Amino acid sequence: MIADDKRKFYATQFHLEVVHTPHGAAILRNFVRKIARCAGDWTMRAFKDEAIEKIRRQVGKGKVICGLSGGVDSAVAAVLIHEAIGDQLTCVFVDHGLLRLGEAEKVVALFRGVYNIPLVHVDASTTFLKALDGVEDPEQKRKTIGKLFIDVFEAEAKKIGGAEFLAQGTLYPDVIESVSFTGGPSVTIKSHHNVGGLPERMHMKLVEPLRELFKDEVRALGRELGLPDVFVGRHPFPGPGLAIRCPGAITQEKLDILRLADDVFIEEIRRAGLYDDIWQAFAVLLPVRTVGVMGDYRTYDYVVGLRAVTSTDGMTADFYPFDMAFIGAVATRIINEVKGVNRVVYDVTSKPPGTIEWE
Amino acid sequence: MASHDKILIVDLGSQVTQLIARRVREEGVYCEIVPFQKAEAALREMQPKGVILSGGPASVLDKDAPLAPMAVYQAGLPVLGICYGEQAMAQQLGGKVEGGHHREFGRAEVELTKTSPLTEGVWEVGQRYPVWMSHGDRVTKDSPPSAHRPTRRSP
Repeated sequence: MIADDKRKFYATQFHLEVVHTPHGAAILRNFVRKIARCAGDWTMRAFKDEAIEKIRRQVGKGKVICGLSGGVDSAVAAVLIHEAIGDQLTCVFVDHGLLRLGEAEKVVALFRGVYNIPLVHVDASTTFLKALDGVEDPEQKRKTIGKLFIDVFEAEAKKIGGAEFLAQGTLYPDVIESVSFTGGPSVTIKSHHNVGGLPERMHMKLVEPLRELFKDEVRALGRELGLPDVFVGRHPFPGPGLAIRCPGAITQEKLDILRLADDVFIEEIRRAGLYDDIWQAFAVLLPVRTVGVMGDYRTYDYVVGLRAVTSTDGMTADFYPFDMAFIGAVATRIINEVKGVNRVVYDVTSKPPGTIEWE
Repeated sequence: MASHDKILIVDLGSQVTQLIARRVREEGVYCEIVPFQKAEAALREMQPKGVILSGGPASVLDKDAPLAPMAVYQAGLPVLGICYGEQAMAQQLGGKVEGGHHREFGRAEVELTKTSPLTEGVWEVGQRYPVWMSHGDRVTKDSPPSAHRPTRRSP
């Protein structure tokens, strides 16, 4: 460590920002609060009030359309914008039929019932299933879903008509310009792709009230806006949804089985009080059937894979070390309650070398 | 964000620069990460109350090593350099950085030998503390002459 107290220049050879330096955060606090004399008044409450003012200034009397994915980011963005401009906001929720059990209903109930925000709920599940018929390649699944999502959203936006602004739940990590890892002079600029090219095509301006925030700050803002903890604290969920948790071709039957098995797993995790210790937990329906015996009958049914990982940022992850009795109890419940499943396995792969999702 | 005090984080290529930003924000202080090439413009626009230089994978001894703009040191603002940021700072202010020592990754211990505003209320003189290292080069001559070393590396 080197210090020049007169000029207030300080430097440390060791890393202050990582948890492996246990007092690093306290030393950083000394720098920003005592040495640089920053007030420490940047709270989510202050952010909320300022963001509302900013949205009002940007939008004026214009109309805003916000796409809801069922996830936390778009929901927080929508509620914040609604606080700012009320019914000048219309939300469009494209339900691709690949959400978890009861998820679409919960989003609709929250927005219509609790917040009274104008909401167009498009049930496009049949369209998506048809487009995904026979598609086995994971990349092809993602592309098909992404393109169709934009088509459906664009059609709805046109029906609403007259909207000048498109709201997106873009976060700070999506927009930080980063120095390339080679250390060279180039700067990588990320382009966000949530609604690929739509604003340009429809001549809409973007409203991105969360673009200065990290994920955990969005959660804190959500709580500040009164969104329920169960909603705000939910595990990340991929855009292509259950499609990438059904390796191989997708059918309605497989999706229904997966939804029920996943629901049992999550319910047991919540009941055991483990939900908030886990970064992400879900079930996968394997494209494999195996032999079993239930009562006096021979069965030939699907295998469900369970996955639960801990992580701080999603970049690396460790499998969650459940108690074996817990895993056993979840397996028993799934096999007893979900028709079409006769075997349950637990994924003990970390990332790397594995990924969190299976596809 | 105009009414709040801000910290400018100059990204020199570290993979954990975002962690610096999160730690700063946890203190209720708004900050932004800016690549070193744009740091001079950001310094003017943001009007920060302090600057933090991130780590990075390069060596300041390399020809095209990323460095903070000199304006950062001339603005009269407090500056904190972390890891590679320390070496960049030392090199730019006239100190000496040497390579060729064995690379050091992982847990290490330092002992506080002198009080410093940076460690005030956190570390006590004469005590040893665990820290995390990840570097190849190291600073062998400090600058300016008024600089001192409040810690020493425990064996």
